[in-house]
Amino acid sequence: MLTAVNKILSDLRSVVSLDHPEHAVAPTTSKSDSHDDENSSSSPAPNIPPELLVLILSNFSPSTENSDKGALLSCCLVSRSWCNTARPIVFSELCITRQMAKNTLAPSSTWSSYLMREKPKYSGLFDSPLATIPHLVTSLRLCDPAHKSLRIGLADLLAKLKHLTELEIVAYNSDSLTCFPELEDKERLHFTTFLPLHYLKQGINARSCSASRITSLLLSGTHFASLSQLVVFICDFPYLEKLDMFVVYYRSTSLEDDFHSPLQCMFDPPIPAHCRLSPFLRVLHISSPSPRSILPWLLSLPGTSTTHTPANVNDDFPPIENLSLRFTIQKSDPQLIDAFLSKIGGTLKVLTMVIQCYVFSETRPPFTLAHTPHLRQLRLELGKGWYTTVKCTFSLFSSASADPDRCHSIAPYQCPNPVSSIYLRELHGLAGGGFTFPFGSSLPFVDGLLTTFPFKARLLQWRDGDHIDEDESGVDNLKADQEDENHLGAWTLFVSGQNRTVRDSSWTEQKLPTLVGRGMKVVYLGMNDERL
Amino acid sequence: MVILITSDNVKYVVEKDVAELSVLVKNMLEDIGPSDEPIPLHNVTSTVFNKVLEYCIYHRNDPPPSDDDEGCASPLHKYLASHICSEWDQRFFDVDQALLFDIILAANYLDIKTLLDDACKAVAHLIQGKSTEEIRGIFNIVNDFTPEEEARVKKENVSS
Repeated sequence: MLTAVNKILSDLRSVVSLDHPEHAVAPTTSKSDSHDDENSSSSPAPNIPPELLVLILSNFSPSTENSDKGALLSCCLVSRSWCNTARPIVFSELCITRQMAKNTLAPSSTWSSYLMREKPKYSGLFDSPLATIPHLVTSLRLCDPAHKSLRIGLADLLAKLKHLTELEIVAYNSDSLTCFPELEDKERLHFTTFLPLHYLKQGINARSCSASRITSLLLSGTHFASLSQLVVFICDFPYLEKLDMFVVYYRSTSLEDDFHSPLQCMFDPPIPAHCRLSPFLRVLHISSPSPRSILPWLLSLPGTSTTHTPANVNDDFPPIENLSLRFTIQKSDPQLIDAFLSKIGGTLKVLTMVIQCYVFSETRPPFTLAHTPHLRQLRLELGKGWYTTVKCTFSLFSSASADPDRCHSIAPYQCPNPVSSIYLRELHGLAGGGFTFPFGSSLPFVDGLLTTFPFKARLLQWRDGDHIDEDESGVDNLKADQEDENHLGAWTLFVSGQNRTVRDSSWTEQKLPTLVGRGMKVVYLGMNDERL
Repeated sequence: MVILITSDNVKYVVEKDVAELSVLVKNMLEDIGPSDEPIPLHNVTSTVFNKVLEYCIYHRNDPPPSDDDEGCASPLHKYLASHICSEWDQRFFDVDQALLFDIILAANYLDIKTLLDDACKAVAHLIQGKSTEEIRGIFNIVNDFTPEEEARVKKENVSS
């Protein structure tokens, strides 16, 4: 939050002082300062400093639950100083799309959606040398940028967004496809199968500092011509801190092939040897039909070195702290994931794994989290896909530890069936001792689950389709437990149930804030594809 | 116990864990070490400090605000963070505007992040749904735009 505020303040200062001196921040003229003002109020004038005004108005920003564009636009007209504070929030996010489909292509949190075909509407805002809005845009969302109507002028526009730090490319997704009914099937397939990037790169590279300012890149439903093109593209952002690849494909063979196939075509160009991820990358989210689409290349990169020197910092694998892997995997894939976790696990603090179609006949753990000693938050979703039975074995955590900031539960456990319950039950584990979860027969997957908690912990229980039985789940005791300092910092395990989201429960809304607000650590164990 | 003295010379004896919710006080305590020396709060009156103290006592057992970046926050944590606004908090901020603004300034001075954030939300709530003129009235602000500047802002607002 403070980072965002500082960014806004920084942008505000640069825009005001450099580009538009006539808008220099003037101290807010207070009526109480004007002794001759007949309308002077009897109440003391609240002299809110600009940095606090940013905090107040940030509550209306698009990313907040109480986002209110109307309130911010009203604030823009209050005074010069208020205008200088409110406008960076109003125009910080920009969405460009070609269709009159704001509601589907543009996120609801983004206000400034401009349609390229409505050029007269925005040309004055962006094309004029006196335009101020381009300086305020920090986040750009490009929807369907491959379409020819968007390519015209897009490079010029990108070059004007001098303070861009977040770039999101949404080439196609299930929603956007329905927005293009005029496309024939073949055209649609072609459109979704190849993303010509050269015009986009022109815009990004038009100014030397443009790409280097971008710290967050999200590729959603984006199709590249080859793995090489994808790798070169993401490696062209030298200061990326967050990379989110949500359903990113690269075309491997012909249009007739199943485009879900991630196998690299033998005719694809080789990946340039110099390609390296940004050394500043800390958050990596990969969602793909198969881990084979990208993990082999990531595994081919040098590992993380414990000793960073100026010479090797750009060659080492960046120390990823937050990793999300969403795959549909085949039998041979877990070893790939295991190798990847082994490679980068040493720095991981947050790990999310959403695994579909996870089928194994073996009993030994297919992959382990033993290489993640600093993990603080884990979320697992093991979906059964179209299989009726899911069998998997995880070695959840490496070892018990006396450090309460580390993960402590210990596996292995088995889950032969998808879970349909969230359990809320207190664990009466002894400090440093072993413990067996008190699951009943309704949860066969956790039979035999062994955990070790060096401190007291509790497990939330919630039966799918049932109302919470407070007596059974021990909810009544929770409030009293909170007074017990021994419970502060206890782990809370959420096992999410089938066809159920936590948000659905009024009980959860009432109770969980109290629990989590007490500083408990949370572990998610979701056994299907639901989302918390 | 920690002794705090407000700008109007009112002395408060406060439990250390409550006082240390203020980063300013916490840092001062660390600087002076074990001592009975009273800590002056130059920019806070007793009227305002009473409210600040009330907030700190109620929230004394809350976890400290996390330094984790946004990417590390789980969906549930984000959801819960946006919903945590208890009835007590709503009643606490149901005060006259002058006092509310003073609480913001005091929270900023004392460096109590949660109080500052919550108070800013309360002020934002005051603004919501108000016209420009009404907002000027709340904050006692004079319109210092030239007619040309105001017209340009209005035009860009329409285009947004």
